[in-house]
This record gives sequence, C-alpha cells and structure tokens, in this order.
Amino acid sequence: MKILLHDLSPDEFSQIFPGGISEIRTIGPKDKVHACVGCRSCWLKMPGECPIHDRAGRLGTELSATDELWIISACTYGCVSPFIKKVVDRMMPYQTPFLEIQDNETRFKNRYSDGFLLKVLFYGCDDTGERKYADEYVKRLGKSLGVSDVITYFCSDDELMALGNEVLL
Amino acid sequence: MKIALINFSPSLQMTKKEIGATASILQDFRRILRHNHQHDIEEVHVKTGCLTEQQMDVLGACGIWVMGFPVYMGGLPGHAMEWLKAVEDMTAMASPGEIKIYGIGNGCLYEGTSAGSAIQSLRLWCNACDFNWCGGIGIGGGPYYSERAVSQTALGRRRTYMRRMNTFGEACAKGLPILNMTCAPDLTAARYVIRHNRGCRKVARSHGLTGLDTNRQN
Repeated sequence: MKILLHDLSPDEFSQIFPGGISEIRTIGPKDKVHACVGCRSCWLKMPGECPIHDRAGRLGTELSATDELWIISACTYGCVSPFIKKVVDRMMPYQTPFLEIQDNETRFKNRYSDGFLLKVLFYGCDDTGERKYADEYVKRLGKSLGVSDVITYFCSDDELMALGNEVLL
Repeated sequence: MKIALINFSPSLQMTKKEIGATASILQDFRRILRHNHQHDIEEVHVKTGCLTEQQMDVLGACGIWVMGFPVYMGGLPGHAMEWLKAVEDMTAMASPGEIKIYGIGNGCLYEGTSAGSAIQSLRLWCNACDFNWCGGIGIGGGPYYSERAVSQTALGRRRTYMRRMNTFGEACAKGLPILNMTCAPDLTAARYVIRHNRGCRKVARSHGLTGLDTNRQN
C-alpha cells in the first residue's frame, strides 16, 4: 500500500496525475485534518489511536501497513508546508512514548518494526540554503520514523507539473 | 521596549497548577526578564493557526517577540507554521516596523539540538517577514521543567538550564542578538532515558494500561 500526502489544489493535482490515482491513499487539503493538540492520548491512554476522528485519525495504523509514503509539499521555511506539517504531527501514534539511544542520540521507539520508503518532493524553493535545511529535516523525520530509506527531490513551481508524476510513480 | 511572550503549545491548561512545559519555561523566562528590569511584558497564547485581531493588536505594540514552542516531529507544530504563514501574509501588506524575534524550543528528547530544525525555520520566517532574528535556544528534556511533568520524574538540578536561560534572557532584555544555544538536562542521557521510560510506564498504569498495552500494535 502507498500513501500520498500533498498540499496541491485540485487543479494542480489533476495536472500532475491526470488519470487520478486509484491504488494510493491520499490526504490533501480537501480532507479535514485537525492539528495535534498534544494530549498524548495516543501514547498513554489509547496507545496507537488518535482521539481526534478525522482523515488523519488512523494515520499511525495506516503507516504500519504502508510500503511507501510520498509527500508533495511546498518548501516553507526550510520545512514542509503548514498543512503537511499538521498531518506529520498526527503520526505520533506510530511511535511509542519510550525513548532509546541509537547512534549516540535519543529517539522515540517505533511501535512497528517494518520500515517504509519515504519520498519527499519539495517545490517552490530555489534557495540552496533553504533546500539544505529542508533536506536535513526530512532525514531527521525519516530517522525518527525508522524508515528504510529517504529520497528527497527539489523542483521549482514550473517543473512541478512535469516532474511530479515521473518522480513519484 | 515592550516584550511579547508567545506560547505556541496547543495544550489546554486545566488549572493554574497544571501548566505545560512551554508555559513553565516561559514563566521562568519572564522571571529572568523581570530580574533584568524588563516589566512591560505581554503574553499571547497561540493554540490554533488563526491570527486574530486581538493578537495583532497586542503584538503590534511590542518590539520584541519571544516565541516559545514545543518540538513536534522534529519541527515547529503544524498550527504554529500556519500562524507564521498568516503573519508573513500580513507583513506583505503592511510592514509592522522593526521587530526582534527570539525563539525558545523545548523537546522531549535529551538533546537540545532536537529543536534545531524548528529554530532554523523561525530564522527563515524572520527573513521572509523582514524581522530581525536575534537568536534561539533549544532545550532538551523540556517537559521535565514543567510542573505537570508527564513522567513525573524530577530532573533534580537545573543548573545548566538556568545558566543558559539567564544568558539568553539578559540578551533578550537588552534587545541584543545572541548565537543559538542548546541545553540538555543535568544528568547523563542513559539515566534520563531510564527515568523518562519509568515515568511513562507509571502514567500509563494510572490509566489502566500495562507495559504490553503501551507497546501494542493496532
């Protein structure tokens, strides 16, 4: 199974994926996604489940069954866009509250052992400094989620329509 | 110069005693500012991504903004990024004047560098809005400075934390730039991990969960 997170408008989405995507679960701006409220219920009251019942409510469980997670995001302040960040924050049920030390760094233990492939396509950023910070952020995110591999792409707004489909599919 | 302490934690404050990590850290910072003769301080709590008129009125009158935030999944919380984007859109229409920005990030991980990505995001936001970025501090083991500590595990001494915060606070009170700083709790990483995990198990047990439940796969 594959999951696609994107912050594209419906027009942009249909230009990049003209035939639509049938076998991939998508979360986009048209889905109602609430920001994480930091209640820690997904860790300490109902492990693995988010008490907010919206499109991202079962994201932790969906990630456990996924082979690849794709993210198409505008590069905002050297990180993913606000909408994508809201969805990423809701991945906390994928982790446990317990810490471990790996490679001289503390990290949260993952609830599931199988890692998935993380592919991120950033658009709308030409500044090399900002791209460097975005790349570091994605690598750090991949480490914390225990992914098998991380692939990051950068393109301008104009190149997005041409590259989006090729790069991810 | 007026100083605004902006709390980006989305957590609800249940009672006056149960304040979260970010609020506790900002309270400590407020005391440090008062010790440095800065008494004109406003507090703003940003729980959602909406920029309200009341917030704009309060922040517009302040020359220094100190942004306290929890670190979520290695970066700024999602609602905080929405709010920052709204401020950027507003400054594109009307420049608010010279404003100095300081950042205080607190994360659950031992290393204060876990807030590094979020502090860089704040710096890039400052560049986009034409604000003056004056420095940030990343605080490791942030939740344990809170009176409502999740794992109810005391960190014991807070020597390093108070020293770094004092240095940061002095620079902020004078409106001077400072290099980014980090601080970790005053105990080894291994001991911190053991205490944190023990505390999490204790809280989970109080909710009727066993160790197996906390690790369960759905």
